[in-house]
Amino acid sequence: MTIREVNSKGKDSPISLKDEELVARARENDQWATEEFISRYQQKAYAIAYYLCSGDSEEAQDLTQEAFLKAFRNIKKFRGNSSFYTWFYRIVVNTCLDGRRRRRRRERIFSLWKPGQREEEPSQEVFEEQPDMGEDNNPMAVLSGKQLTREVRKALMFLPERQRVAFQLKVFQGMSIREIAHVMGSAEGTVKSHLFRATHSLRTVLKDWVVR
Amino acid sequence: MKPCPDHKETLWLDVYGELHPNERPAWEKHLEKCEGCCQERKQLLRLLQTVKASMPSPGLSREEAGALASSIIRKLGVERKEMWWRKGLFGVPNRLIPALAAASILIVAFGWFSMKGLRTPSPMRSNSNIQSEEQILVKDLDIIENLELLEEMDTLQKLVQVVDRGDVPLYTKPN
Repeated sequence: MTIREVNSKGKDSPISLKDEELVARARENDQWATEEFISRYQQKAYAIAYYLCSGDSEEAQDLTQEAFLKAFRNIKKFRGNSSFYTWFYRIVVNTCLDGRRRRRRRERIFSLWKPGQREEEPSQEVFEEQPDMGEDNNPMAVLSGKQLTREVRKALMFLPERQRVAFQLKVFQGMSIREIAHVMGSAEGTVKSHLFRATHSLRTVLKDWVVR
Repeated sequence: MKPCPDHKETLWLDVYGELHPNERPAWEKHLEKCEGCCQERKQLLRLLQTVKASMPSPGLSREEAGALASSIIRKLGVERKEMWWRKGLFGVPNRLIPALAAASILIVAFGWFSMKGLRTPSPMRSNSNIQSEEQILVKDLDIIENLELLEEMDTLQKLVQVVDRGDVPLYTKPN
């Protein structure tokens, strides 16, 4: 049972609403429900987009916004066959993958026009430089941590798209295999297979780091 | 030491936290006995921990979150206004609007061309005019070319008239 709060205008505060009720209100273009929906899901949606965009925070924000707009445009089509958040995360994942494909196509076209710059420019598929791992001030440890981070990023980027998505949703977002299957629109067995293959590839690449 | 091939799936499910609670006691018992599975499990867990720890944990700052939310709400507001406008267009469904526009353009175009046809003279008529003018010109040219002959014929006609009147004897009687 949901505990409801009554706000100053005498209406139920959407803060206490369940997802289903929130969706019902958002369908009626309720401003509170829309705002609550955004504040409830924007961090998670951004985190998914961030990893899928290889750490490009600006692109991740743009795609998060695009995903929210798509979700609100299509909220009337949500039939409740799956939980609402998996439906929404599916939109986020598809928006990010489409965005990445668009970007890659654009880059390919521009690289054809400017062949000289192709080798000079660094790849866009790089995570933004992040602060050092932990509070360790030992220079060797810092260097080692940075190197490991680079290796992990590189290994992730070389994974096939679906394997990478399954792995990132599992390891970084902590989703269950069933949820990932809903989000990716695949069978649970397929997701397991993607996870196993991804882990196997990462293990091979990061062998030296893990065995240490 | 290698892990048991029979327990491979259970091992992976355990590492990913997806092992069914009913299967866990048997699996834990197996781990106590099997050194290979135990080592493999440790390595996989270390791999996942390493990967997770090496990646930054993304998050929107309060300002970024606020800016993103207000941007989404603003865009939604604009879209909803546009949708209302489209829906209110004579109660016609949106997908029919391009078809209606095309039909209207065609009707206007046909109307325009048919009106234009009524105003301008027919091309046959102008052709006949041109032909008659050409015929007159040809006649005039014929007259100019045969002008000398006509003058001679005129002289002959006068001569015949004089002879017919008998003013001039046709011949003189020789002495």
